[in-house]
Amino acid sequence: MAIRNFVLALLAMGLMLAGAASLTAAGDESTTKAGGSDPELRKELHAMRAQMTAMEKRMEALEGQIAASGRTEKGGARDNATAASGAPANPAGTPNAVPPGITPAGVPLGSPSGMTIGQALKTLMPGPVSGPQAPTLGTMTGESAPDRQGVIIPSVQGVPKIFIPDIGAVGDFTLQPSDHKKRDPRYNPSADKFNVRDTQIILFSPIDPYTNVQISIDKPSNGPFDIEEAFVVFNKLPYNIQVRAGQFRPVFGLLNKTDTFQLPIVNRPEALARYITQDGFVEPGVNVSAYVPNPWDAAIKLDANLLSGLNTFAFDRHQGRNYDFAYMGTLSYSRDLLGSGSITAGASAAGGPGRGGPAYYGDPFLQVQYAPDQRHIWTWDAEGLLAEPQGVGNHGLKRGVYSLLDYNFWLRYHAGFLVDVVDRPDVATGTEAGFSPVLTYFLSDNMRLRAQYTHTTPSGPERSANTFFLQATFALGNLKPLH
Amino acid sequence: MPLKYTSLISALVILFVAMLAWPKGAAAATIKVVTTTTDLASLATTIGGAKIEVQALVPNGFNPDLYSPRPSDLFKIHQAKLFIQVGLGLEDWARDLVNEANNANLVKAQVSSGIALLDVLQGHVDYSFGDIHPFGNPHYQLDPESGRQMARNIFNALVYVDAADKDYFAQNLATFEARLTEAEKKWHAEMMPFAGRKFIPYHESWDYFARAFRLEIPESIERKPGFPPSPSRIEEVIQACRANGVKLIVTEPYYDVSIAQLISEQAGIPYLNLYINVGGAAEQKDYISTIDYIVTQFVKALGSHGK
Repeated sequence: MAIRNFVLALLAMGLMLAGAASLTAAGDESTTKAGGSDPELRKELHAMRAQMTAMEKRMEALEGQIAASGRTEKGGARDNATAASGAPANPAGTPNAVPPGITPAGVPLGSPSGMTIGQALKTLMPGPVSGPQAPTLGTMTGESAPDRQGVIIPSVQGVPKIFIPDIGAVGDFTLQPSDHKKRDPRYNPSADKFNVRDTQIILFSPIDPYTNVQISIDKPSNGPFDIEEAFVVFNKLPYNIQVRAGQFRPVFGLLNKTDTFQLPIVNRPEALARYITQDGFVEPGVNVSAYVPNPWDAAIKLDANLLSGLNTFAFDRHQGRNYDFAYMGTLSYSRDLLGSGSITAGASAAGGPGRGGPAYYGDPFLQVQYAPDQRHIWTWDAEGLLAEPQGVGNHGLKRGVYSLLDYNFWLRYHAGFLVDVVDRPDVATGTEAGFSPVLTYFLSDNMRLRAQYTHTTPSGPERSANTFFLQATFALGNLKPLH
Repeated sequence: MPLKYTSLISALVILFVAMLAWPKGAAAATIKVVTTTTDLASLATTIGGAKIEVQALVPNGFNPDLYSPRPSDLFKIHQAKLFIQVGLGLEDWARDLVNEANNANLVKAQVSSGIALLDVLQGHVDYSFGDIHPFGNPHYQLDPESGRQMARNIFNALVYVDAADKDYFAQNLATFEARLTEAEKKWHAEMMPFAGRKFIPYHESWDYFARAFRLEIPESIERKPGFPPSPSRIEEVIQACRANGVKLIVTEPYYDVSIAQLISEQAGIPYLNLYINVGGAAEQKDYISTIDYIVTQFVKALGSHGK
């Protein structure tokens, strides 16, 4: 009602201004005709202007009163009558009518959802603008912009964010000094210095109603720019199957899908890294995933991949006619636990060409989260790796296991403890065990600081090692958020 | 013993065939609805009644802005017909969930349409402004009139996915609006004596509440949204309380309540520690009782501290 009155008032004001303008013109004309000496016409004009000014003031006062009483009116009989008749503000009587704010099935969820291009363009037309300071309460409301449906797209003036992909950026900086002797083969001189370990630009966009695309351009510290990930996702397929094609991080265990900079610790646990590298599997191929219907209505998800087997640590794709592809699959189950917690359990398996024959990997995993409230969240990750990398000395089945307990306290702080045990791949028998306390502080959603200490004890003649890690990571946008 | 990957492939093929061949159960009698917040779940339950089955992703007492989704949330969205969110960037985490949930038939609804939004920013916006929501302040549920519009938007969404039950939903909506109107009369009557009173919240969560009940917010404890105040900022707020005649400090339990306590003690004014979503406190059973509880606490606190 307030909006209608406001529009009516504006119309009335416009009409009066038009009338006054014509009167002014007429007056000027009369004045010219009369040689500029008609005091009566001038007097009449002044009187009308005074009257108009008074009316404007009165209208402003009325608008103020309407705004003040608007809330009471909204809850009044008029709205009740509307609701009772089953025809609310935005009636959606037929399935074909898309009410404001609704994003129909098949349309990707963007921000803001439910906005059409036409609506978006409207929002970019000149209108009330407020700077970075929050406007005064009540001045910047949908009531003053009824056709905006309450949503305005932020943008640089004149550069609408339409058809522009979502963009993310990441920078990961580390310092990892250790007490390795310089003649120790484990000594890495570059780790002793400040290191821009990873920088990434990430682009994401739907490219048609059926397909999303994501591309990550990566600059690792020890190499040139490359494309880390570039894949399309088809997520409108029958049976709710999702297909991903391109180069991507396949699901393998708990952590493989996670970029190294996103990990809850500085580096990938040695239990995994010794056999599938610090970066994990990043492979060109095709991925198919779907929830498995079952009698218990449980969240059982199947994820299968046909991959090129580019990970030269884990596979050797140039050997053997029958083993040119690598295969990877994961079956997982998850459910809520104690209201606000959760449990996820599953197993991954992979096979592919090894140097002296097929190589096999198995990976059972478990994640339990207990969250009595948002300021105290406990997460326990445990994952094991069974590896049979044929041809690397032919040492048979190797094992690795890690356990990471993370306690998120006071929203921004995480304290963690990692126990990491792995069979050494280069000797027939022999293990390496490490433990690492970790402290993480989130300066903001986009900036994370971390300190970690790792003590490693190898079996055999090698001495134990102590490494101290400092890590600073930023991530802009929510394409690869920090964890 | 080697892990035979031919066996793995066979197992995957069998599982896929089983998945495709699994007989679909009888058509579900109810529509599965997933909401991000408990407020939306409450409103959806009120409008949808027995025709829908609602799950909220964010647990009771959690801040939806800071929520980290659980793996089990994916399956909830996977099974849903309708996904309802507050929007305006409150649930940035929701997009990945929806994209990864393997649900091609999901209808997404954002209930901010038609709501008179505050703090909508235009022009250049970047993260130096803090954890802001440039599309508008997303805490609009604290204005009961926004609650009315949210309910109407949920009605529209439910009719969109289930037009056959439109009359049923309309009846529930009318009942809800009548209850809300009655409650609003009570709330406005209770809050009327405190019109114009000033209070300082920890976060910019209370702008809509202040607008609805004609209270004033001279500033927030956070200098920039999402960032805890420094000691100098706390001192500034204490001075501002004294200088501006501020009557109350308000915070939410997931922020650092000790800061609100400190300012309250130093400025000699009361403070409130309130959940702003359904299910936070035991008294906050549904949308109307949530607002009612908040109003009652404000009336008590402002009433106990004289003009």
